[in-house]
Amino acid sequence: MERIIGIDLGTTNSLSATVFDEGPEVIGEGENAVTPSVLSRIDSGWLVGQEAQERRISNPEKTVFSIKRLMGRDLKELGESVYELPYQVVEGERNLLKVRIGESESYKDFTPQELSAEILKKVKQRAEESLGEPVEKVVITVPAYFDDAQRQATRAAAQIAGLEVARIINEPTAAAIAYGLDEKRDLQKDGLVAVYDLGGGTFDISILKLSGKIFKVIATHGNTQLGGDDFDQAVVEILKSRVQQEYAEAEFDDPESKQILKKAAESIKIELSLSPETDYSLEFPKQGKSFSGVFKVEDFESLIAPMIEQTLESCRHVLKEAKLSTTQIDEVVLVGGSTVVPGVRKKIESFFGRSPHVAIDPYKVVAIGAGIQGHLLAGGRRDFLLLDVIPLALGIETLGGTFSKIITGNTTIPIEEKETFTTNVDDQTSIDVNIFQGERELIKDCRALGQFKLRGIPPMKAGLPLVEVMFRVDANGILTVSAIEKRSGKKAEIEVIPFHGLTQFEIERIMEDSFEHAIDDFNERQLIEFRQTAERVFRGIEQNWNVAESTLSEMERDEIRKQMEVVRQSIKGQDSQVLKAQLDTLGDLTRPLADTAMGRSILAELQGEVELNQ
Amino acid sequence: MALEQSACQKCESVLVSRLFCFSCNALQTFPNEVDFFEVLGFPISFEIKSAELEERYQQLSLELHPDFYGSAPEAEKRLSESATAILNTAFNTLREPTSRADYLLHLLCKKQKLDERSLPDGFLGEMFFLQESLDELLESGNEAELSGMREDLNGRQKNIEADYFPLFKKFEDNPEDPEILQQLQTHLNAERYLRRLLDRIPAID
Repeated sequence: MERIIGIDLGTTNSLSATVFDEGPEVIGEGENAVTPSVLSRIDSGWLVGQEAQERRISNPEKTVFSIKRLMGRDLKELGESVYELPYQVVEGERNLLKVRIGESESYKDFTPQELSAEILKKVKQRAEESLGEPVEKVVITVPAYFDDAQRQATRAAAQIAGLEVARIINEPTAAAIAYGLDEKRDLQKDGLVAVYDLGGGTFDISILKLSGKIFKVIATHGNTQLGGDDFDQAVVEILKSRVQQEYAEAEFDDPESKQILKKAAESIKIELSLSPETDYSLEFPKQGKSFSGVFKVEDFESLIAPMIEQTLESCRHVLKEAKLSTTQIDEVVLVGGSTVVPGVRKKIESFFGRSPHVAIDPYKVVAIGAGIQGHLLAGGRRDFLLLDVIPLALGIETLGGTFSKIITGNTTIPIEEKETFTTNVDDQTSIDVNIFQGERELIKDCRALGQFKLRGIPPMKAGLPLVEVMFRVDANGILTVSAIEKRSGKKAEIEVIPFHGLTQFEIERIMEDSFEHAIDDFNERQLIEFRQTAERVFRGIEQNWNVAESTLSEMERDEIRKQMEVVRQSIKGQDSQVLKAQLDTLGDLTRPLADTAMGRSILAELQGEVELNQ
Repeated sequence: MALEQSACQKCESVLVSRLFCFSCNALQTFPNEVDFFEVLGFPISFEIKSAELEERYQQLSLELHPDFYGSAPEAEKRLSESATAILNTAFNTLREPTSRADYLLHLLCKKQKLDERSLPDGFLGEMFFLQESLDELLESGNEAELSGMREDLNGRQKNIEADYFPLFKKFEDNPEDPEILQQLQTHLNAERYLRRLLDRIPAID
C-alpha cells in the first residue's frame, strides 16, 4: 500500500504525521518533528526552518515568516498589518501578492505559493529522512474558513514542491478525526463536538456531529486573519510605547527593530502562560539603546480580550447556523498553539460552560488527523468517513452588483449545482460571469474569485441560448466550472481567470525555474551547513589544543594544522563536496585523540557534530 | 405512491437507491434528472421518518464517498464524486420539511402553473407589522424582546409546516384537485417570508 502522509502547514510551525504500525504519530522526534514555517534567503536559495529562524534578527529583511497569512490574499485585504512585517510585500498583476527580497536594482519577487512550497519541500525532505522512503502524496490541512482562492494557493504550493495533493482537509476536522479515533480517548462515541482552533494566524470554530463511523461537520465559521500573531503584535505596540516613554526619539521602523520587538513579544506571551508576570529586556544595538521592564499577565489578558471576544462572536454565529445552543454541545476540543494561553482557555470554558478536552497535544493534533485521513485515502482503513462543508457561499454577480448564491455556506461537499444563463443581444456568442464567495448581500462585500467567459455559444436570438453552467465543489472544497449550451448540446468553452491565484501556466513556469536552481540551491545550502560545521570543529580543536600537545606527536599535530589550513581555503571556495571531503579528512586526523581518556569526550563531541551535519 | 424499482446495471438485483447496488457493491450510472426520492430510496411521498432518512444517507455516504475511491480508475472516481454530490443535495432537500415540500410540489405538478406569489389572506399586513417591530427591536437591541420575537416567528413557522403533511395527503386522495397544490404553494411562500425575518435576528446566547 502506498503511503499518504498528513502535513499541517501552519502559520508558525509545520509538521507531518502518518500511521505507523503502532498507530498514528507525528514524523520525527522532539525538535526534529517540527519545522518552523520560516525561510531565509541566501544567494540564490533558501534556508528553511530552524536555520532560518536563527536569522530572523541578523537578516530581518531576507527572512520570511507567517507566509500563510498572505496566501490567496491581496494588499487591500491585509490592510495595515502588512507594514508591520520586517520583509517587503508588493502587489503584482491580478492583485497577486509577492514578497520582495533584495535591494532596489537586484531584487527578486516571490509569490506566497512559492515560499510555502519551500516549507513543504523541507517538511517532505525531513519526513523522507525519518521514514527512509520517498514521500509523494500528501493530505494538507487548511483553516476551515479558507476560501477557494486560499485553498487553490495551498494546492499550488504543494504542486510547486513536487507533491501530489490527495486531499485538502480542514484543520478542525482533522483534529476531530484524531480525537474521534483516539483509542485512549474519553470522548463520547456519538455526540456534538465543538472544535475551537486558534493558531498562529487563523481562527476556526467547527461543530461536528459524530455518529457511528461518520464525522459530519454541521457548521463552521472563522477568521483567516486572527491568531497568536495578533497577540504578539498587540504586545509589540505596548513595548513600543513603553520604550518611547524613556526614549522619545526611538524609531522602530527598521526591519531589525521590528524583529527584536516581535521576538520579545513572543517570549513574553510564552512566559505569561506559565507565570503571572515576566521580566523582559530589549537591546537595540544599532540605536545604542537598551530597555527593560516587567509585563503582567493582567495587562496581557486585557490586550487580547477584544480578540478573544471576536472568536466568541464566531462561536455564537456557528451555533446559530447549526441551530444549537451551548448546552447541547457534548464536548469542546481545543486545537492550535494559541489555545495554551490560559486567558484564552478561561474564556472558552466560561462560554461553553464546560472544561475543554486537551488530551492530545494541541500542536500535533491537526497533523495526526491529516495522517489518519491519508491512511484512509491510501486504502489503509475504511472504518470512518469525514463529511465536511464549504465554509462560505459561492455565487455570481447579478444585476446591480448583488450577490446571487448558487451554493450556500455550510453545505456538505462534494456538491454540484447548475445555473442557466442566456444572452442579452442577438447573435451574442460569449457571456462573462463573475464568481464571488462570501455571506453578504452585495458583491462588494464578498471575495472576487475570478471571472469566466463562456465562449462558442451558437449565434441565436437574444434570450434563446440556454447555457447551463455546472458549479462543482470537490471534496477539497475547491470549485471547478463547466458549461453546456442546451439547445445545440454544444459544450461552451470556459476559461476561469483567477483573481488571487496562479494560473496553471505560472505554476509550471515556477516549477521549471525551481528545477533549474535545484542543484545550485542544494550545493549552496550544504556549503552553508559545512562552513558552520568547520567553524565548530576549529573552535573545538583550538580549545583543546593542550590535550593534543600532550597526546599527539609533533608530526600528527602538524598534519592537523595543515589540514585545518586546507579546510580554511575550501571554506572560501564554492564546492560543498570538496569541503565535505576535507572535513572528513580532518575528522580522520583528529581521531587518534580518541585514544586518550581526556580526548575521548572532546572528540565524541567534535565528531558527533560532524556526523549530524553530513 | 408506488416506487418504480430499477435493477442493478451489473447484477440486476433490485436497487434500493438508484446510485448504488448493496448486493454487488457496484456504483450505478444515473441520468441527470434522477429524482431525490430515488437517490435515497424512498417512495415519492411527503412522509419520511427523519431517522430513517439520516440512516440511509449515512449508509450511502459510506459506500459512495470519493474518499473510498482514491485508487480506483478515473471514471469510477468521477462517478463517485458526482453520485456523492447528488446524494448530498438530495439529503439536504428532503431533510427539512419546507425544502422537501417545495421539491415534492414541483415534482408533482410538472404541468400545472402555480402562482408563485400567492399569500394567505391578511398575511402581508401582519408581516409589515412584524417587520416594523423587528426594525425597532434591532435598533434598540433589546435582547429579551428579540428572543421573544424569534419564538413568535418560530411558532408561526411550525404552524405552516404542520400543514404540509395533511395537504399532501389530501392531494394523494384527490389527485385531480388543482387547488390543493396551489394551497401548498401559498404556504411555502408564507414560510419564506418568515424565514427572511428570522434570518435578520442576530445570534444571542
